[in-house]
Amino acid sequence: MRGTKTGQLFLASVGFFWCFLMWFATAAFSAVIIDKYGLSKAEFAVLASSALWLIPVGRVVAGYLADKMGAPNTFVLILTYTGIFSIISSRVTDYGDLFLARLVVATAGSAFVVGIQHVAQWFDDHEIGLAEGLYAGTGNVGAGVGAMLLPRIYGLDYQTAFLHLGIVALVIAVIYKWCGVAAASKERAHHAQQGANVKEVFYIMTRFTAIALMLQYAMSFGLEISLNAWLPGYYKMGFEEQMKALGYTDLKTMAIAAGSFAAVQSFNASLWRPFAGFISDVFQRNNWTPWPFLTKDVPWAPRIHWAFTAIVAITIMMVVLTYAGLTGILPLSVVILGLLGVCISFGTGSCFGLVPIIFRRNPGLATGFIGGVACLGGITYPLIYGSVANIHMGYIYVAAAVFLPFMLFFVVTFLRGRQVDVDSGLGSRSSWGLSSTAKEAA
Amino acid sequence: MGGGYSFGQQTAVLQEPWYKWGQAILLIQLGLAILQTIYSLYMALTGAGGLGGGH
Repeated sequence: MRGTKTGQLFLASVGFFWCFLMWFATAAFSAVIIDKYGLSKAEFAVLASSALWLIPVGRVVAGYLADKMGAPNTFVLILTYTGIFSIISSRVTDYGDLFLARLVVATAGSAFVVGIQHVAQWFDDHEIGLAEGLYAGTGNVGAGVGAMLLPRIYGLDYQTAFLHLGIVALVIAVIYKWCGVAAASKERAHHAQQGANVKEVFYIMTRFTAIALMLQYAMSFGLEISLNAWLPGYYKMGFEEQMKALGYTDLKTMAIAAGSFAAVQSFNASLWRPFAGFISDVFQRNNWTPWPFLTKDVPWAPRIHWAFTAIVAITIMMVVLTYAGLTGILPLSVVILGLLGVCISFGTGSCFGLVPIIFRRNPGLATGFIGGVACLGGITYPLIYGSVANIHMGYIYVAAAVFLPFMLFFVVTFLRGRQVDVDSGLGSRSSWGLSSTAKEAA
Repeated sequence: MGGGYSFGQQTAVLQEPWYKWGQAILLIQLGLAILQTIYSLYMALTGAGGLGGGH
């Protein structure tokens, strides 16, 4: 495994898969936890969103650390402390203690940018799309696997599940330490180390192009993770009568069914993601630019058009999901959720078909910002879902109040006839204290 | 890299052997997503518990 890029890809994928599994393990048992502690809809919404509270900052820091001390060391650090806190969370009985311990465990989600950096350090440009696709797709599906399998394996005993998840995380940390190599060459690792610069982080965070892509990712990945945390509880509360009529009468079978329905989104959003990257290539090869108001003047314009197509589809499907919920027809809701998952994968895949191309010099820092701050969406949306009187209406509210303004920013940034400059943003390189020799080639 | 961000350039290159099995894994992943959706839809239609579901 050491010294081979496929071995390192396997290692990163397994590590990220397990981090994702731990990240959303609380959601997999939400039906049990709601019942045990008598949580209200609003309290459940807080618990669901708390899985994401520390991720925006955590991912920016993790991206910086991955460049600075190497992805394997950063991965070992994340797996170790989250594993320990997962074990602690299996032993507490007070809800406040459980909430805090799971808050720390949820930072395992920061590992995404570490693996992206690790894979990028081993694969060349012509093959990186597939490599990153395999990594992200395999890792992200950890949430769906958790929602579907954990209640089946452990029933109502979430404490044993948290204990076992923590122990395995520690084992993977040891293997990662033993087999992980930061980069294909020492020169490459050294180059990444030199590029890690706090000023550069803030510079990228203030570019309009990066912000537009971050908002696009908040509409796709932010939505995906918000649904991972929200959906098991949503099906329990929103379709309780229909589930009882089907025979899911006790808490265990209801948790299993709700987890299986919720996993439809996660499986589709994760496993179609590499396909979305492939479609991005197809748009580029055929020079497809279907939106008349978006730019056609930059070489990667077709990929911009595909990214916009994805977020239009996501917004439409959010409206349809509300409709499906209001009809009370459970199978319709499951089918629509599957289609929404596919549209979300188009959004995430199309975004990371663009980021490494536009931000070639600092892909780790750009990934940390876009992949990290976009998670704020995942924090906000469950609070909106839980704040409305009718539980099914939350999706349409998010679409109208959040997604439409985000799409407007995206359109204005990439408006046809406007000079699209990757360096355009708040302040120049020199005003951020950076060398102007590294200015964009746009 | 040449310093600074640059627009992507697409060139024809020979793929390494791993690329083929990588594509095969992608297809397997798509198949898994479709199977999981069908399985959950079956549960929503029939009330079946499936493996570990208990009824």
